[in-house]
Amino acid sequence: MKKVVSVFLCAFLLLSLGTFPVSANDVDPVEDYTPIDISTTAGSHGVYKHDIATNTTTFIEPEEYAPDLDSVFTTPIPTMQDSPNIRPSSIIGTDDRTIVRNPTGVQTTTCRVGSRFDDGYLEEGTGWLLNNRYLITAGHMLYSTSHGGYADHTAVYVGASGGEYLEYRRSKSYYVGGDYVDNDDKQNYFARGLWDDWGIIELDSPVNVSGLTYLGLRAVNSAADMQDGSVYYTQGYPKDLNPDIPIWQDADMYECSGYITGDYPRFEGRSITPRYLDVVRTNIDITHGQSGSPVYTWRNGCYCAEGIIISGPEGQNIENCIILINDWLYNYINDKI
Amino acid sequence: MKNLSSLRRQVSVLFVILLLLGLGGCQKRGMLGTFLTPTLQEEPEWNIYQEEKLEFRFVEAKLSSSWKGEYAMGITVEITNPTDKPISIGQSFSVEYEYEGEWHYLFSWDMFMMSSVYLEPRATVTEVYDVPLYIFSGTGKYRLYIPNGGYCEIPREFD
Repeated sequence: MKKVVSVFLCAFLLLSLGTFPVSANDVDPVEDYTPIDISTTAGSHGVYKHDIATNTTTFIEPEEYAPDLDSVFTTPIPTMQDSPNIRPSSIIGTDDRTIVRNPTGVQTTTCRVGSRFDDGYLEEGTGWLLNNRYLITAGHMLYSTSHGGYADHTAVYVGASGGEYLEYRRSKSYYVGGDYVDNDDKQNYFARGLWDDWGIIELDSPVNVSGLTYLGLRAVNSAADMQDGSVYYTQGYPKDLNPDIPIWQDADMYECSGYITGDYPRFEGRSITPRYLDVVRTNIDITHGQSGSPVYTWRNGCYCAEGIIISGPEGQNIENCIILINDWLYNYINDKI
Repeated sequence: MKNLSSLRRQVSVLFVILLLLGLGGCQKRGMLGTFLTPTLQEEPEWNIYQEEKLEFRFVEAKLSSSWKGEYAMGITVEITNPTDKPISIGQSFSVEYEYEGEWHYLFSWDMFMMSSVYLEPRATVTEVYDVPLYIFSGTGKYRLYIPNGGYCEIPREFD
């Protein structure tokens, strides 16, 4: 009898060892979902301001710039107007990015942006001037925990394309979304940080070029605010079309256009959890190097930026992600910048 | 007669044991197909190998947890541009798994930041690639693939 019990125990032990790992498929993603307080709009969890010269960081509470939700934010800033006949490329089907050899109109305030971190890491992207002192881009262009925190400095080449640029400036200070800074590693980024991935650079001195055309800003809070048939445009510095350029700032600017296709759902486990978002999807062609590019359309007599390019699925030129300039962010820019 | 009865009992016990082991094996093989081994899906279009020019060196792997309590392995890699020309790479990467002597695509994040990394000639930078912990449950070899960059084998010693 003892032998039989021993054999059974051995068999049970073997079976236990063989089945110990838990398959990901065994976990019900819906059951696993635990609601957590996540900011539903960019900027609503505060902003970190970092001064490069003093290497100090301060946190700005969201209450300081909370939007009046009864207001309608449609007044574009700044007031400089663009010419309606300056239109980027036609609506895209596949890859219709076209080179911008001589930037004109709002392309003149699009900037080649590169951030150097303390460990030597150089992150490339795009940004655009809000006015002659501030530039807006993606938050991940300015802050990276794995590379030592805030970038040591950021180089800004105004209206750059093909080795020509209007002016060069460096960063003086940064303003970065609080949720992004607190959740910038990849696992947390795609669950939380992505929805606050915006950054603003204060330049070390004002850009001193006459005739620049600035994009206006328009607050939008979801895809519904943008899916009115409007064509959206962008321009930036895609890596795949600028392979191995010998001098970093010599990259060519490319432009393209498309539509907003919907809100970007948040993933919980393997399931999609609908949420009211400030991140939307687009079919505009986007590749690496275009983080921080403006997404804009024609509104009320001028081109207005309504979003910032931040991320996308590798190699597929549809369903890329844009973080919106929502009421919180719009209010913050109006109040603080 | 007593011996025959004892023999029957032993055969029954053996049968039950074999049955249980067989069921366990089936269950394990089922998990291998869905979890421990690569999903033998088609190579993503973006993952089609291009000319690899960079050199990679595994530095370390560290466990971290997300705000949701999920665990990830942060794979730290040194990337060197050995050429005399600057090279840009994207933020994307995939994890590959060696299965029956061949490397297979196993995992990639759904999304990547759209910035890129600029490596000056002869420069070395350090990058951390976060991978969900469950990806490393297999017993075979793993490696990272960085499009237009190259491969970095992940030694098993890290775990």
